[in-house]
Amino acid sequence: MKIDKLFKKIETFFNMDKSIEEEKIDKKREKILSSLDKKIISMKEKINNTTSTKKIQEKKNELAVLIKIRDDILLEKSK
Amino acid sequence: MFKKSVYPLFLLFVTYILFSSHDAKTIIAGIAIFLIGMVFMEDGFKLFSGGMLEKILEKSTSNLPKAITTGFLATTLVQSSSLLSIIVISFLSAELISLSGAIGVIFGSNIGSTTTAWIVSSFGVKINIAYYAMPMLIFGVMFRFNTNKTLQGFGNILIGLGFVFLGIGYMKDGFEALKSGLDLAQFAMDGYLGVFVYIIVGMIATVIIQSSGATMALIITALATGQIEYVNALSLAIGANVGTTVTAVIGSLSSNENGKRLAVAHFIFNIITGLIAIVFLYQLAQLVDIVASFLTIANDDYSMKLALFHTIFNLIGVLVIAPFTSKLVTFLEKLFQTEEKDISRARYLDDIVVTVPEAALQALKKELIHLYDNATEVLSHALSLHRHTYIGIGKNIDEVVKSSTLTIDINIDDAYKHKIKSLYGDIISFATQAQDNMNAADKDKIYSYKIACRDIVEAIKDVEKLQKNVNRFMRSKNKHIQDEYNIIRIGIAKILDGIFLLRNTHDDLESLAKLRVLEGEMKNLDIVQTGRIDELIRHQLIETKMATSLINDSMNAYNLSNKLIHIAHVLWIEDKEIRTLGVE
Repeated sequence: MKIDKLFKKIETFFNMDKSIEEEKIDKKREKILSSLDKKIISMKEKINNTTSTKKIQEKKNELAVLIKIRDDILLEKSK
Repeated sequence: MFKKSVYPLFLLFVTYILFSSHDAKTIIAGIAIFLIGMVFMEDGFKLFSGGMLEKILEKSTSNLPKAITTGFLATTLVQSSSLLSIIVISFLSAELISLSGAIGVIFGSNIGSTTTAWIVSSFGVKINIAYYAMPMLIFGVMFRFNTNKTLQGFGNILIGLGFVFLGIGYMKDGFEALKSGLDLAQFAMDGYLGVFVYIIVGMIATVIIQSSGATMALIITALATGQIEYVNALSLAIGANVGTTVTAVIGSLSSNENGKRLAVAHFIFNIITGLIAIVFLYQLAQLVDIVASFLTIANDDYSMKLALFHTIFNLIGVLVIAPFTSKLVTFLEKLFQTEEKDISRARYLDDIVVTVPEAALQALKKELIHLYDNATEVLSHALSLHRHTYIGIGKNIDEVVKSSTLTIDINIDDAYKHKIKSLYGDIISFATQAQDNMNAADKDKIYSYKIACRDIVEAIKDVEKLQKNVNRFMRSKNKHIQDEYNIIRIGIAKILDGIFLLRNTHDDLESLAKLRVLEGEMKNLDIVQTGRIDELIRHQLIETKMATSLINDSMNAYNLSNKLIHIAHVLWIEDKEIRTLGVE
């Protein structure tokens, strides 16, 4: 009986550790998402203000990468 | 040789004093305890601050007044000008601060170090300071054994303070007891002869004790117990100030040019300040009397007046010398010129930097970029390209590569030995030493730097495998094989150019996006995956022998590019989490 209680305590302790860790990961993910959003907006503005076709294509490629990364994170978050 | 013969004699001399005079033994024990207290305080502050001091110094030395204030505050807080000197020299070597900023910090530190005299004169000799030492030592030891690093640091500071207080107590007891047997005051000397004699005594004492703070504590306790005259104590204080720079200059002999420049700046400052103090000694003593009356310091409170004198003459030194800092910088840079170092050796790694984690990481990163730049040269030449024709100039790389048909005769083995190997060794050795003083996060960075270093070396090995066939087929009469080898050259050149452009990108996400785009383009190098090899073989456009060479070489080029991209991640994306985003 005592051993059961002890194991339960240990389990709770480790779960507590896990939830703290998960919370940290969530916070970091939210921070990255917000930075990604800002970057995507600023990149779109840059594309609109650029005249060189080559530069526009380069920026569009980079933008596509960032949008895909953001979508992947959102997908992971929704799971 | 000198040190080897003098040191045993010095030890014998100290042993003789210890056994011949009980009071002298108490005083010397006081000095020893005081010094060990300073060591504990220094170590404790390093642990307690957790790199905060380095961060403040890095950001607060942009102009001279800021640098002087930072030096003053930091030394007042840490009570160790030697710790500050070490950090400043290491920052200077890692190019994190300018020479004028570093000199400013040293100026400020000189004023800050005078607070030791204030502490000793206001608390040390007036109250039974040793009484407070015991609780400090007890609590200090309790905190010292805590697992938390900050508390350990706090514990060390308390132990240090406890020992400093205890040391002062011993010195005071020793001088008081000594007075009943031998009155040192009988050796008091008037006039400038006395000034010079006592200045030399102060200098020698500081060179032997290796701490102007401890010498000042000794002078103040001797003065408070009436063992020396006030005017002679002033001369001793000047001597202690000069003596501390003698120690710094001797210490800098084995240092790099930055260490030497700073030690000489410190020396010049203290010599000029000392000369001013000697010439105007009696006027300064009068000024001290006037300021002391404003500060309500009693006329016969000589220990406090000595502390005030110590501060005033250092302050005057800063006011006189600070306007000439830029001239001093020019002089020092001429005096100790940076040697044009052999390109294959480390430029930023220095023994003194290795002890300061923040500076060590910055120095390592710079050195890794230096290694990468050397590797870029070797890689470009191996592909018969010159860096200045395509890197960072926005030219059409396809055209540049196709028009570069002259073979660059480079022996990769020689180039590796000359430009990579020694530098690689320097970096790995420095990184291994540096990680001893680091926390887990910093050690993680060191690990990623080591891997990046290994990738650079492997990239050189990869290009060595490519070189022969690139040179052979880039001018082949078979247009198809020529095109394929040019695709390899163009692919690697675009990656080198793309990575170079990351230096102007100060946003991790933007760097990441650029690198992911480069990664996508890199796939074109894998001739099997793109299916181009099937076309070439099916239509018998190239011979079978050519095809096998091409398959191997395209794979080598792909691997090489992968390593370059990985190196760029480590060097130009700071955030570890962002580096891993979007990895397929």
